[in-house]
Amino acid sequence: MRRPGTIKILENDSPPMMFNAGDGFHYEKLPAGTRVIYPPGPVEPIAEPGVAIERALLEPMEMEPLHDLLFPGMKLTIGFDDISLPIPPMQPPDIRQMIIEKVVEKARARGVEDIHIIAALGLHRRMTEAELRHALGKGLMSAYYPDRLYNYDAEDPDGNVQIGETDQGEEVTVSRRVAESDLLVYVNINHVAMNGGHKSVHTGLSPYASIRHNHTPDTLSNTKSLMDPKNSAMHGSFNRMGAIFDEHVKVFHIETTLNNSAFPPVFDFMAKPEHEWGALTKANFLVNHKATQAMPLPAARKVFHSIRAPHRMTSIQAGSTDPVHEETLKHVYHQQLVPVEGQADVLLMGVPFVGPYNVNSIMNPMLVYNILLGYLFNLYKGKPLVRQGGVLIGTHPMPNDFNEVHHPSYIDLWNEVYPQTNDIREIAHKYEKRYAEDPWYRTLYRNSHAYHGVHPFTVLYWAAHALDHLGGVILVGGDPMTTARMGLKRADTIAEALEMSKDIVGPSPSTTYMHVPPLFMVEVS
Amino acid sequence: MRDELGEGFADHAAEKVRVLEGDVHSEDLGLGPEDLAELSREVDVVIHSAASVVFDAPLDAAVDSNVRGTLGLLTLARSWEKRPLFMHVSTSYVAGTKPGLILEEPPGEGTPNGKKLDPKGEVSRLDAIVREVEEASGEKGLVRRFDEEARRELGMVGEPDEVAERVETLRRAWVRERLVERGNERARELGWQDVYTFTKSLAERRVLEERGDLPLVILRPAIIESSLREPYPGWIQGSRMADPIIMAFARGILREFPGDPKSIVDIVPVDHVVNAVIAAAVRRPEEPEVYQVASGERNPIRYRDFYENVREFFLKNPLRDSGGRPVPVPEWSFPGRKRVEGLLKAELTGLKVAGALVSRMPEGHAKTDLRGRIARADKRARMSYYFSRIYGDYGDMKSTFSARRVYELYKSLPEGDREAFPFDIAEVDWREWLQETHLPAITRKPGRKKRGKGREEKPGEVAAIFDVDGTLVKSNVVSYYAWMKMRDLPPIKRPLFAASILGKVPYYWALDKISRTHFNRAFYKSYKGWKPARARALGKESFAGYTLDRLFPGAVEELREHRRAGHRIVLLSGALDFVLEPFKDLADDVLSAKLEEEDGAFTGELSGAPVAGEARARMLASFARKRGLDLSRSYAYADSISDLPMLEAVGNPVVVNPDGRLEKAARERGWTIKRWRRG
Repeated sequence: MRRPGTIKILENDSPPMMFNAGDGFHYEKLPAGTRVIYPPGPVEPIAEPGVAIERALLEPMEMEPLHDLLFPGMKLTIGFDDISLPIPPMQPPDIRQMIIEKVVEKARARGVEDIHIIAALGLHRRMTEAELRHALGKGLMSAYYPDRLYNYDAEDPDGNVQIGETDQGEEVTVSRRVAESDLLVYVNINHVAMNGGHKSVHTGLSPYASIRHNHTPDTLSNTKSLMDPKNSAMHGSFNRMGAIFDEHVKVFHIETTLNNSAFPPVFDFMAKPEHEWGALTKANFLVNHKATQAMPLPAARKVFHSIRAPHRMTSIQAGSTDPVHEETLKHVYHQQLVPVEGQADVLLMGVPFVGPYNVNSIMNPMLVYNILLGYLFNLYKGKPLVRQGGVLIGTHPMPNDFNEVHHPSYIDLWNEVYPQTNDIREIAHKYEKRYAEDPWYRTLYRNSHAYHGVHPFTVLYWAAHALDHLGGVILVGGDPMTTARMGLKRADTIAEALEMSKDIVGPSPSTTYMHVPPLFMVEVS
Repeated sequence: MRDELGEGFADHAAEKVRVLEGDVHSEDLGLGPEDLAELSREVDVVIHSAASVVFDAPLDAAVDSNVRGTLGLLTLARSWEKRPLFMHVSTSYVAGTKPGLILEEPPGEGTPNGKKLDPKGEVSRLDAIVREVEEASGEKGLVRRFDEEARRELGMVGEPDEVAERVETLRRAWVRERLVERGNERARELGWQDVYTFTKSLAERRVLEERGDLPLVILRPAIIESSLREPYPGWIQGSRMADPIIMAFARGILREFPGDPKSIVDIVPVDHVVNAVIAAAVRRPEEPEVYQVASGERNPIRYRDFYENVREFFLKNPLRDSGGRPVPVPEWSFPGRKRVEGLLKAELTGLKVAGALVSRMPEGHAKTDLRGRIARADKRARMSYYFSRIYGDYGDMKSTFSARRVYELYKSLPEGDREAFPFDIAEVDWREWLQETHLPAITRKPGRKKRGKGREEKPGEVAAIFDVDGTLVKSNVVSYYAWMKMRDLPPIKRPLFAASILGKVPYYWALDKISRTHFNRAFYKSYKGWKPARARALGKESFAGYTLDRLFPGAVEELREHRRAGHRIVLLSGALDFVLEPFKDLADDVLSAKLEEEDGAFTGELSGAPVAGEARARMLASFARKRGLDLSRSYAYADSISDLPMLEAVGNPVVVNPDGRLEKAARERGWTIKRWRRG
């Protein structure tokens, strides 16, 4: 029987709390009375995933079984979620491999020859051959790569086509191959509630021409929250686009959920509440903590990024996008949702080493900002865990460090724009277009492994709702230069940060520590 | 005056000057009856100064302009009601090679070397020479020669009418050359320097014969140079006599002067000439009068003084080359005309031999470089030789032009007129005039290039042209090949392959030193048998796997800077198209090499010319024409001596991480040198 999410109120003799802090940890005793929310334990995985996949394809929701949709001479395209999911990457075999192998097997059996398999990376970086192999396995790679198994190219002038426009004037443009296919099978991994559904196609297989309509500061400030699609303006836009897309292309959507078994046994301390640590767990943590402090940063980063998560599939559903996604969200919430009573004045969160945009890479200052204010803050359904005007305290060193191959336009934005302004609306207004159209970033996006020139903008906009809501953001352990440049406050310790918070929220704040990762969500009553 | 009067200029000019457009070669000067009637009624003075001041003009043109044109106007003027004064503007140099003091008197019957001359008969004789040359040009042997040459030039592509047209052009060129020769031959035979002074003297003689009862003044200026005062000091239009020599000296072309340093260079400021013309124009002598506006007798300046002044001026105010560095001026030792010409002839012969040797070398930048040097030396020697042939006689004058009558004319003017229209040559301080007026004036004169720029109405687009290997990317065609080939080989075979490539490096290196074109052709044979689809896939992979690590960040920054400035980005590279494919988003145009395909595989041969050396410059030129690029305002970036022709083709060449030879060339030309580094 799995453990539900727990809430612990700290006392004077409670042990110190560990925080994730990038490629290391922060360890500090919190004041008595602090509320700590721990994630639920992992949901029991499906015992026989192969069988579950087979059943999902045979008994889809509001759609014919997959084999009835396949016929000789057809154009079949299989899209799949890229490297941004799941985090950390999962131990092989990856769910995508298991599902796509099954789909391809069925298609070939039905005499389908024209099969393309596309990594739906949208404006993310191209996956390397090794990453594709990790996600899809050797068999698919040797049969289809590189001619029929490839990365989506949002900047291929001949490779995308506009299929319509929503009633709100949003251009709906998608991959030409997808638009011209008789069937699109989309294979997704729902790691958090914001993913899946119509978002898959309209961010993964769509160019900037479409994405620019919903990745704006205004949309994101009305997205409350990202993890609650019904209350998200961004998801509203995806659904409008999806309605038009469904008229043009038949989509067989396959969605899966994972349990939150994010760390291998050596990092057992991550998933265990501190008061449950035995001597061994504590020793293990302290060894890791000291080691990451002593190691040069690149070495520590290497250790963390070599983590392959023992995630397991907890559900799979296939068929028509909307009913499938509704079912998926139920499973996501079942794993992740923790009911909580009352908002806090001050919310503490540890920022982990990895987010969707720095798998096998570096979490640069803009990505730290995105994870803290875009992802972690939004891990709620209903109302935020921290009250309006409250303070969010994160732990991360935010080093001035960038991956040159993956994030070239981030580097330029950081050096060219941030010294002048950190106002996301001003940045959007003045610079988005130029970065989006810069031929150098286009070249790197298409031929190297760089995020699209405009990607850092979308990442920053994700903070819009948090910025509207919060009275202050403090980064514990943050580099003074980078935090100042991003417009954040910094402190050396949580104690100091809590002192600083009092100027904003009053002398005796209620404090909550949301103990991520593993990622989970709260529903505040 | 235009600047001063602005819009009022046209009215002001119309008040003072009535302009009729005619042609001295046509009957009645090509004027209509009304114009002719007006002239007849109104004209008091005719000043004839139309002439062809070309020392090496073909005989027929010289006679037509200088003799017939003059007589045409004279004939007309004879019928005019007011019996106007006819002023024939001649030149002091009609004296030819006759030594001693040349008086201001009509030419008489003798030639400068004492032969007897019948002017009318001489004109007929010259006409006969012209006819003879024309006829000779139709001679069968010659026509066959023209025909053969035309066919050789046009090759297989010549249509019959094109060939005929070319034959006619060749024939006319031959005639012209012969007529120049024959004219100067006859001039020298009779004691003149050239066809110019000869026909000018003939004109004087014919005018004297044909003037009827018209009063006649012959006014003979010496070398007219820029003005002393009017309309402003230093004014002159065109540059005819001494100026080309001065400029050739200042540019370092004329390294020795083929003249006698003690001989007189007889120059007069243009406003003196004009004032003398005005003063003489009021006269109505019954007997023809001759005036020489010259300085040699009353205020002489000799070649040595002239040279020293010029040298002093250019030492202080040197001309600058295209790179803005001062051009050193030569030092003349005046070894004598014979010796100067002898040396030049020897140099020209040497250069011819060198040129023949170089033409046997394989095509490439080494050859281009040598050919360029030889061409420059040859041009310099030829120009010097030309100056010597043309001006030599003027630098070796044994005579002095008397100007007593002009001085008397000046003295006869009332005080006020003398002040308003001065032309006493003794007032000129040559040193001051040269240093402060004339030399600054001729060096300030805008060059043809600049005037061309000003006239341009629709400027072409500005481009930034980048070489790729070595300029944008620290790489070369060999490493690209090796990288791609390695990807394709099983790991076990890689070391062997690497060793085999290494073994060939010295050969390729040497070949590349001689000729990039040869090297490219030889090396691209390695691709024989490759499948184009695989090559494209590897080419795309090479960007992330290889290129990116070798790209110069400075280059990318510069490229994007140009893009922001709205320039057209052109990649012009000898690399293969599939390697450059990933660059295409970065540039508006990618001009690259392409391999020939046959039966689904590369043959190892280039399809089309290699994109290197001269071919690259030619490719760029033709591309610029097609796209309407303005190369003079465009930028080019390159790293190798083989790119020199391409760099020279643009207004803003930038040399990147140059090899030794290119660095030297760039320094000589004052080009920007950039050093781009990785990391």
